[in-house]
Amino acid sequence: MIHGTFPGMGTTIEIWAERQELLDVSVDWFVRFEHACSRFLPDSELSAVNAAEGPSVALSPLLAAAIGAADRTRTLTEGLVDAGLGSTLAAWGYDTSFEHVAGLDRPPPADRTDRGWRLVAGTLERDPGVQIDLGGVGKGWACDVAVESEWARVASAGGDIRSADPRTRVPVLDPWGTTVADVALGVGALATSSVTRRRWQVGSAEVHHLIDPRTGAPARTPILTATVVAETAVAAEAGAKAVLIKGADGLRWAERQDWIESALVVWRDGSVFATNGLELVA
Amino acid sequence: MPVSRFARIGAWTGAAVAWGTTTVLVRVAAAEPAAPTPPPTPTEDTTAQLAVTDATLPNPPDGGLVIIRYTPVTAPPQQVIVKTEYVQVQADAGAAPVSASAAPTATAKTATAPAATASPAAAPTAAPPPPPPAPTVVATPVTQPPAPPSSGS
Repeated sequence: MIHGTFPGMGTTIEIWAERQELLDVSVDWFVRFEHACSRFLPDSELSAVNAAEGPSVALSPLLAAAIGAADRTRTLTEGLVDAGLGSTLAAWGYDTSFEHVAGLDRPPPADRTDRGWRLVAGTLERDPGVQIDLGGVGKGWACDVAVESEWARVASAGGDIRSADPRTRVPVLDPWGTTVADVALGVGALATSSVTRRRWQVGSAEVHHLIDPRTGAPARTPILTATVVAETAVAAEAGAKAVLIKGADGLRWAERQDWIESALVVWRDGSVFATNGLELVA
Repeated sequence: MPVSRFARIGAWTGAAVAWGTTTVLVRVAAAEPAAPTPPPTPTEDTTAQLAVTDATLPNPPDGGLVIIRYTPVTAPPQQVIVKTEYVQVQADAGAAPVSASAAPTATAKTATAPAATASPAAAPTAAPPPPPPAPTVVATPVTQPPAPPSSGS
């Protein structure tokens, strides 16, 4: 087994592969993915799509597949995880890679315009002003492709983990770096979403990157981090975001989703709660 | 014919009303040029409350709430992490090897199959433009099973 780690997509990517050649293929995949799907690389295909005029844009198969995954997560989460909020995130100041986010003097004007987008036969159709931000869903999907293509046994990107190894366990950390649960993941996926990371200043307040599409503003939630176990990393990532946005109802909502195996949250006072079914290492 | 006379009267009346209405609207528009109404701007008081809400406990799921750690406090904790750390791998691949730590615990978990998943149907076959140079990868052969990745923090 070979373990590789490298920077990408604004985070650290870790790959466990059977052989060096497969590790190389995995790395190449993540590089290609970022080059097509990053909102921040000026020469990426997604940047060109977001800058394009007109209601419809033809996509490459890679970007179409990634946006297709985001489309499915939008359906799974009843619209709570929406990749069409790129322009809203940018309006709140997250318009460049995070290390360069400078903050704003004041909040952006309220904009609750109902903006839609859809994918039709490899073409993105969107209302004026809609920009796509694949965010964590994109990272999860990239991990899924790496593992489902059998290039990697385990792939991890920014808290999104997809595993094909039954021995895999994942320590879940709280915002203070303490392990709060040692999850026996095995074959499957786990993702953590957090409002304690990727924060910046707007006026006198700190805001975070999780936009609640119902308000067009960073989500108000009593949850600091949410972790979800699901079959795929893209589903786990979407589930974690939705639980966090749902707030006090997050765990109850997660339990009712048949595509979520279990969920765990770190509450704002440091308490840790979970749904039944979370398998911990004995 | 009476019918056509009434029709003519009606047509002229309608035209006169339409002309009058248009004239009034044009005068109003000329007197008060249309200006886009600026959307409301939320106050800072609004955004200051964005981070947390006051719920003290999750609403329990039907299957019960599992409490792993219970540390109620009256005030929210200080912000602990403000910026994401960005790990830059050194060009010298031998300088910072990543070690394999504790062996993962073998589990006999059977993954339940979700009814709906968001996995891609097939690996993409795109031939995108030439990608940027590949990043430096720190690769370490490991003789043990994969060390656990962590999630969170």
